[in-house]
Amino acid sequence: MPSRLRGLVVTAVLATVACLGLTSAPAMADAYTPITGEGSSWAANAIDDWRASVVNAGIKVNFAAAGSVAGLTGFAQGNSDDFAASDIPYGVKDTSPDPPGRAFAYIPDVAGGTALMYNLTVAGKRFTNLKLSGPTIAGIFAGSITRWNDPKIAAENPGVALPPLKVTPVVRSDGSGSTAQFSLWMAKQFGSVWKCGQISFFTQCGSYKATTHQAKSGDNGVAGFVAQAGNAGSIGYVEYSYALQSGFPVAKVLNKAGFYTLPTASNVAVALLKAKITMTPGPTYLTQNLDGVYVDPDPRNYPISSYSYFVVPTQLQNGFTNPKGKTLSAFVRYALCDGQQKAPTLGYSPLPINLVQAGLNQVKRIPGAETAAIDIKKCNNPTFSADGTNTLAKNALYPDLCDKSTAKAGCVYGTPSNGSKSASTGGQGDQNSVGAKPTGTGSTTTSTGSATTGGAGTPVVGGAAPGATTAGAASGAGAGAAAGAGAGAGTGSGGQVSILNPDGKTSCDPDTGQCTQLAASPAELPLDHVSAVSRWAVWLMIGLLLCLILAPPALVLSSRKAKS
Amino acid sequence: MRTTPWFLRSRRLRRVAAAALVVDLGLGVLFTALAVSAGAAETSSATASAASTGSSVTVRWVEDRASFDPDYVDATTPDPQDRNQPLFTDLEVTVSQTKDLTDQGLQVSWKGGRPSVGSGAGADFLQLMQCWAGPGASGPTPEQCQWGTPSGAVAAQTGTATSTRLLFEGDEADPKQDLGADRTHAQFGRDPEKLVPFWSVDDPEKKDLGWVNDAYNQPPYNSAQSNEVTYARTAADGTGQYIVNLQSALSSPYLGCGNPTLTRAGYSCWLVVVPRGEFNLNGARADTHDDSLPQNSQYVAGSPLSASAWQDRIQVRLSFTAIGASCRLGDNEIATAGSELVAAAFSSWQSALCSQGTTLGYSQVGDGQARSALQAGGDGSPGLTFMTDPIDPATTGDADIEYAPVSTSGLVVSYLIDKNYTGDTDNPDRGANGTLVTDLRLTPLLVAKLLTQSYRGDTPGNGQTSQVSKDNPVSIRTDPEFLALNPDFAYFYKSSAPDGLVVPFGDTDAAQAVWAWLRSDTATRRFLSGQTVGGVTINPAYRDLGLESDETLASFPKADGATFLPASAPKTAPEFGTLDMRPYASSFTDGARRTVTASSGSKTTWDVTKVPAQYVSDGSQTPGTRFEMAITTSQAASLYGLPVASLVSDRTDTGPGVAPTADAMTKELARRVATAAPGVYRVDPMKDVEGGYPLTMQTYAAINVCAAGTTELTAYARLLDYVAGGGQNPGTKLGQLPLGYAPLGAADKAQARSVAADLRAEIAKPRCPSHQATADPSPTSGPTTTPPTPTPPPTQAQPPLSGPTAPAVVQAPVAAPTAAAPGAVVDARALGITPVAQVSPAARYAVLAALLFALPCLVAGPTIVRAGRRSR
Repeated sequence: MPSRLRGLVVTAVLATVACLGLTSAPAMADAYTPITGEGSSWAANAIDDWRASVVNAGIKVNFAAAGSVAGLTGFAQGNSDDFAASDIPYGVKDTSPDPPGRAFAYIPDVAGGTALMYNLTVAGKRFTNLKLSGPTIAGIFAGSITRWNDPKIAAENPGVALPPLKVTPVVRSDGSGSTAQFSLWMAKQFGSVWKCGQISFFTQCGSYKATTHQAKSGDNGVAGFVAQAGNAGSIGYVEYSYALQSGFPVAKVLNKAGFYTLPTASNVAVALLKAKITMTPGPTYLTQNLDGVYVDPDPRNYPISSYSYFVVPTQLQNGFTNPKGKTLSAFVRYALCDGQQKAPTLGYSPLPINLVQAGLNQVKRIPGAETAAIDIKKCNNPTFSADGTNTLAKNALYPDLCDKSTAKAGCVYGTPSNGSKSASTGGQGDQNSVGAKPTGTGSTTTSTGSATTGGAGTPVVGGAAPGATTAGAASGAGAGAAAGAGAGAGTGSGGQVSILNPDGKTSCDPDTGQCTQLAASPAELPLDHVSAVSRWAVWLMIGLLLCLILAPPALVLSSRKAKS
Repeated sequence: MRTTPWFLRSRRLRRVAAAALVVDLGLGVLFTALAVSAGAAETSSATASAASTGSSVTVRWVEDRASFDPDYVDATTPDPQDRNQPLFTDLEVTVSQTKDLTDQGLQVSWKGGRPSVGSGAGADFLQLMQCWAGPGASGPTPEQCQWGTPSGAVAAQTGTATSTRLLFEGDEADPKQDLGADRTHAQFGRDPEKLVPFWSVDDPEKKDLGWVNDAYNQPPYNSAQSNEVTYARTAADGTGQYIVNLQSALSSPYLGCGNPTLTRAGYSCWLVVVPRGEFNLNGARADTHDDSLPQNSQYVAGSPLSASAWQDRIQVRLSFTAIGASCRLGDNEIATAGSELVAAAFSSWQSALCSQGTTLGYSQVGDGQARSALQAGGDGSPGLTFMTDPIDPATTGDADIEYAPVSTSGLVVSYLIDKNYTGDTDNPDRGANGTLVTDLRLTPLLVAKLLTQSYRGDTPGNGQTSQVSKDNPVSIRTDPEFLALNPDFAYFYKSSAPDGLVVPFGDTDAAQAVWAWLRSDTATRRFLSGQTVGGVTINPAYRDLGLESDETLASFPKADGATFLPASAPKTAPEFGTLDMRPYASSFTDGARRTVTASSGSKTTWDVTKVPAQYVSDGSQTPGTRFEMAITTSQAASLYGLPVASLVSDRTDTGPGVAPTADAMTKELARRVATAAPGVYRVDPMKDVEGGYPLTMQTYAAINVCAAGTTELTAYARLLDYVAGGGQNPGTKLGQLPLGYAPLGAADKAQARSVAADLRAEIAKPRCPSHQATADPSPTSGPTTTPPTPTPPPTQAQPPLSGPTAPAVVQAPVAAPTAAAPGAVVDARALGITPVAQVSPAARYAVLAALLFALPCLVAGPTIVRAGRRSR
């Protein structure tokens, strides 16, 4: 009996201790002070998504997509902005305001492609396979190419009956980082056509004519104009997500490898492998030099790719407080980690690991930041891989031969430009233009490999897969099955494109069948997750309590019975 | 047999045992106390939730007046120093809801007030503010109120200091107001000024904000953040109403409303209404003031926080739903994406599921994007997306896509319109001047005219440069069809007109449904096709868009390409266009936000001070002249407390029309039709459903079963189980179905549960090759040679729609759980839905206390029994 009692006592004591631990960590909210920022409309669709996502963590972030220049200016001047979002840094000559008096740091927040969204009807149908080279684009926005049947456009789109319609370039009326990035690309690459250099106010460019151009406020305004059926012939530059929102097509842009590509998440990721990031500590730390992106020889490169940035305070100035810093750091940390998961769905491209790492270190400089919580190992980002390479870029599909600059009129999509890794018909084909009505005929596969859906436009990670589904000729003769894991994620086309297991944790090489754990595999549910643990603890408590109440009388009874 | 128990045998053990007993009992007492106090806090909130619908409160000004002003005796013997008091004796203020509040619009109405004088805040108006109060306090102090940061436009409508925290000195001084050291703010380089500081609830030591050490003396909010109502006007009949945008601790931590820690500690939140009469704080009549003084010198002057005004306040205690930080950042999110129609409900469900360890993420994208993202498959693509119309089964190939209904809501035309009447004595409603319109009725034809810029005033330059017919009315307010349905508008000032009809950018099934509804009406279809209907012709810019027939149109065009140069801009300036004067909202919810803030976002004001000069925002409309309309969701309209239009068939319709109540939505759904995808139904606007709301939207979750991993499928099954269970109980608590949604019917819940069961079956016994490949090799499933033809799961025949769910008005849902289908209860339990969310701190403390008390009994009990037996 005593030994049994001893056991019970020990159990009870342990239970009490456990219970104490439970109550000392009540499921109380971390209180977060709301913060306010303004800036880039290019990045606004991503920022709005993150803002909505952190609400249930008790975080309120106000953001106005007033444009990069307004964001930089507001952050520099007043007390109202706790952070800014901008596609360009401070102090770019004739482009952005001078660096502010307050201490600040740049943190890259998301990557994306500046897309050329257009509205064009050919032979009575919305045209969705427009191909444009840089000089032609520069010519359109400089106002030297004025008709859609211009020989320069026609030469790049052989066999297309382009109408003699007026070209209406739609530009930003406000101070815009996308205007700055777009004009920088044209100035550096096609300076003979584009004479305005880098500018953030398009209307200040000498080529701007109110009679030819349309100037609209924000990406929303530019996309809103192009998306009007009545505005046939218009073409504007916006972040890809705005084209996805409205279901309008974007032009394929010629890269240095001679391929016309779309601003998909993977093409942008490939392109930005060549971005040079300033790693010297100082006021320009982490800013981008995109010269290498423009001339990248990779056939998958989308040349007008860039990063957008948060500008955050690093000192308690202009009304910034430690509680606000706590909020801002938690928000930016979410954006850099889990927030990146959502980038492809929205029409952006996730940041690579080196920029996330550098960004997280910058987050630690925000006054009031909870630095203990910042850990790249807990960062859940789809580009991370075990060997440090960018998974998204590594697995990006190669363009179709019909998207090569030398392709003839009437080229039939379906021949990959690179045999070992190919987009087959879906990836970059004619039918995948954003928003084209689904014309897919369903999968023709008889593959034993995978039952993927209808060939799924771009089988790359992320499904920025443009609007339509196309017939996915998943002809893979069981390679997917051979590779085993991972078949579910790719198209199964030759088993070449499987990237991630459906569990999202492992990456498998379809050639070797080798699977590796991603560095950023989601952490196990931490034990200190109050709610999950307490659910069981509470039931355990109730059980123990019942034992404690019922056991003594039962014991006594039984011992009495034994005696009698 | 030895009687001494083992733990008393040695001296040391005895000591230890004694100490343990003391500690144990001590802790037991402590936790009992905690349990009792926490329990007390909960009881109050429990009562609150039970009485959610009935939590409206009416307070008469004369009630308890003496407790605010010791010099007040009764209505006939008011405070001799306060000459305003006789003006307030009949005032009574009603607050529509005082329990379970959240970040929402709150309707405040009153009667028995003195009609407001002049324009703006001349005299006889109310000032409203949200405040906090400390533990045990009977109400807030002036320092605890969010006040004093009006926008420039609003401040310009008030008398001196009336919208501020400043206190008068000298002749104007309030005789009852203390102007001591804690009301004096000295700032370097400036004369010390007298004002009422703001104290934050989250800064009790006043270290950071408000007073002692704050160099700027800035309150932690500004005009964009504050929800203060600088002035609310009273109509000639003595009534008035205002929608106050309440703020939880999430938006305003410095007020702390709904912060569970503060609530437990006894802090409270309040709505304070300060009526202002015709006399200033020093007792002088405002309008006798020397009018050689600057602007508004004859307006009532002085801060409502000053003692003589403050003592006339009415205060109503508000109880907020505990704000959640139910989801932890950094937990791995399982992705979903899709229609905005589900966003608010998802957010609520997410918080309930987070607390059970399932963290789901959500990205708001258009329905079309949701459909293509689902088909894309692969990592990074969500395996579950939300949409109204299904994916065309002809394009899905072998993919196994399952659909589960998740929410029912509606598209509404919400509005914020101040009655802005001329002095016309024929107007039977003139007494209500300055109050809100709440009974707007619209026809499909009127909505079509708004959406097609067919009113001249909705085009750049009011039709001067546009091709719109010169015979068309200038605005909806002058349209005879509109006036036939809403006759009071004939007495509005001529210039009154809305900033068009605010609509969002992008392709959505919701927009598609609006056009389908417009086409379902014969007259509207004729109008859209270009015929003149009732003297109005469609704007030619819209005539060729095929609006009368194009069923694929899923956006709101803004097609008029006319531009205009305003008189204020130089000849060299660019002209503005439709998108500048009638810009898109970024979402339906953003449209509701623009309506409630009376700020459509139009940019037609040429600002030469900008570098370079550019068009800037025209700013918010001022109270008294607000006139905004937007197409938004029933949820967003409910959240912001906005009134919504009733829909009638045509101008001769004399009925009240159909409003988006839960009942009307449920009626409409009873007649829904099947789509090409099994299990998916949609509302057919061509079917005229008696009492049904035609813009009802049923939203589905679509799951690409084989493309999603088993981890995802598990989470999705949990989501659907919750959606079909507790997630349909209307209310404002986290986890409940937010206001503006109609609960799913029994058949829909059953369908959702059945899909959840399918997903679990797939995990247990995979059919998809992708899942078989990853599943552990089990002895029974040897190497299979049969081609794993993707077997579609058994498609469940849609059970006939059972009787409609209990009718409930959407604006005021029943908070008590609706009678759930029996299956739902079982399901919720099987899932373990309840434990955490509902095991309260009190219960936890109680368990602990009981345990501690039980421990010594356990040890001592048998000992005593034995000792007793021995002594026998």
